[in-house]
Amino acid sequence: MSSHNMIEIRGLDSHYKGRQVLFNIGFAIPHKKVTVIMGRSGCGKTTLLRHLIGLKPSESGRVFVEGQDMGSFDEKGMANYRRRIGVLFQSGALFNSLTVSQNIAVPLKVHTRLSDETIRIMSLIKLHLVGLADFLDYMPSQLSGGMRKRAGLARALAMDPEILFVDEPSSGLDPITAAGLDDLILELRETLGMTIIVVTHELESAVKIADQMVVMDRGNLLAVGTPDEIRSSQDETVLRFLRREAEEQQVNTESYLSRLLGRQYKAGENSTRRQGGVR
Amino acid sequence: MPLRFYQTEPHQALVKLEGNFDSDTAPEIRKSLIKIVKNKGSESLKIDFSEVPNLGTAGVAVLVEVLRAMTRKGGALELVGLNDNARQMIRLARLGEIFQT
Amino acid sequence: MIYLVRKLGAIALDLIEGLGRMGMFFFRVIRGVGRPPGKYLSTLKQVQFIGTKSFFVIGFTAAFTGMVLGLQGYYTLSKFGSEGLLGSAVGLSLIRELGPVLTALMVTGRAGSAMCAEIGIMRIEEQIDALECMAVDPHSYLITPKLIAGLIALPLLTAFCDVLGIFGGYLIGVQLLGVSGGAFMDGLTSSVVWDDVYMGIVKSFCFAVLMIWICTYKGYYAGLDEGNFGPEEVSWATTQAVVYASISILVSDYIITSILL
Repeated sequence: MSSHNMIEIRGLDSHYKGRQVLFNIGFAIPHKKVTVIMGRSGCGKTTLLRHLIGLKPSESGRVFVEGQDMGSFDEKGMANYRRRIGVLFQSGALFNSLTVSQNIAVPLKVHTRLSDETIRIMSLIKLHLVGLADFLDYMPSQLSGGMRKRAGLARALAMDPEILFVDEPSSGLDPITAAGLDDLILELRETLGMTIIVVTHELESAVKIADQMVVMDRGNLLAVGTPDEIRSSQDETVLRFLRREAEEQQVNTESYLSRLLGRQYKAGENSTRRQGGVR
Repeated sequence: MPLRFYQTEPHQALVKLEGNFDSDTAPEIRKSLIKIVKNKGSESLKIDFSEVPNLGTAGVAVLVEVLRAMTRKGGALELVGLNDNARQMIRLARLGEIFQT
Repeated sequence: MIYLVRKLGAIALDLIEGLGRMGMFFFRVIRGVGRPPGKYLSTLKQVQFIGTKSFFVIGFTAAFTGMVLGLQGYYTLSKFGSEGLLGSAVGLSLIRELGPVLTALMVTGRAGSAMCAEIGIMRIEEQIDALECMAVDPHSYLITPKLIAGLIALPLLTAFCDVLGIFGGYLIGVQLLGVSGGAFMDGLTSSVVWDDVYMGIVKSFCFAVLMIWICTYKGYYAGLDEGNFGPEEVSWATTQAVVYASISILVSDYIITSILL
């Protein structure tokens, strides 16, 4: 295995409540680069992210962190891995009962013996970085969605992570703030050499920040490459994705009719009923 | 975390740090540095970073505390021997001008 | 027919899996006692939360239950001409039985449901995932302080409930119905022995564990069975938590009584 890869994924399948949501995913996430995982909503990219941060257990021999099999991590191994990562969740996932600065202090308080004053200065540094230095003592409920997300980023950066995972950085943000966030991601890679994995459906921001792009569709890997390679791709589905064309609906007329007319049908029953529950 | 203190001149002190200055080592370094600032009447403190491979945000935060304590005493803080990583860390905290890096 | 058997098997498997998960959950919460960060402050906050949420409700319930006991007891006892036993009747039934049970039920309704909703919201908003990703054990960080706080607060609230209940009984029996105050207090002090108080304390500790365990567990796994993570799952989990906690408090009350008698 190449030492330039931070994380390597091989033949990853994933099931959710009896439905397969990822099919044989395999690619590598290089060191100190920005990797963008793209696809429209429901394509399984967030599920993939959950595998990478160990929230969804995968079979042994599927996800490797610096050559080590994540499936074989025990509790301690997982904790060690997680001390090296920072995760920004889609909604920011701030703790409601704590102020913004207390939110950032949570990992520091648990994992370090730093004094309260040092922790306070660190929170301020991180908040200033995301442009929220004036909101130190606000409660999350007093912030807008975009601010919550930026505060979540400050918290993800609290422990100076080597690897940063970002779920939909620009969703719910105004274009200017979103662009600022993209710049910050680039700066983090530039200055600190952070390995960054971004999950998004925004093509523009993906092309702007990505060193490597991973395009997904309905649980399948469509393409992996630099933004230029992706753009010059000849693959029909990738092209359609780039042109943002609506996918042709593959309507199964027979099942549609039988559903309308109340006759029993079998194929696809489970998948349609459970579509609501994909995460 | 080895930390060496030299009184180079009557009003000039030099501290040489060895090893990483991150969230694991910051508590001890902080204690020693604050003690030095308090006890010695030095008007200027120099911290040598040439043996520090890695400076974390916790380290930067401690430096801010030391700087504050020094300014309160009317002294000055100077950082020397910063490597690229440390310089970037300080700049990322938007403290490049304050620490003159 | 085969469908029925299969369904039954599935239910049984789910049940066993759920029980195992509940056991693991409890084990992790207990294990969290010794883990960083320090829990003094968060535990204290939870004690205050449980206390303030339930103080007045319990006071009210206790006073009126005591008063009813006074009335009913007087009515029953006067049939045998032994109104003097009112003090011991009120005291014993409150300290051994009604105090712990009523307190636990009230705390479940007030604080337990709120805890379940709080944890459930943290689950659906990915906050628990976020804790895990910071390598912070959510059991130890979120649940353990609540459990310790429950173990501190519930016995205290039970004592408060007992005292107020007896006072209510005294008020009705002595002030309203004319039982001699001396006889009331004498009956109380002579018939209530340490064993009775001990039973009350044991019960309140057990109820505290059950209530916190069930309520936080339901919140923690809110929506995980359904696979959806929406507000409905939290409200559903909260309802379930209150019902299950109340039932298990009543059932365990019987079991503890039969063991300790």
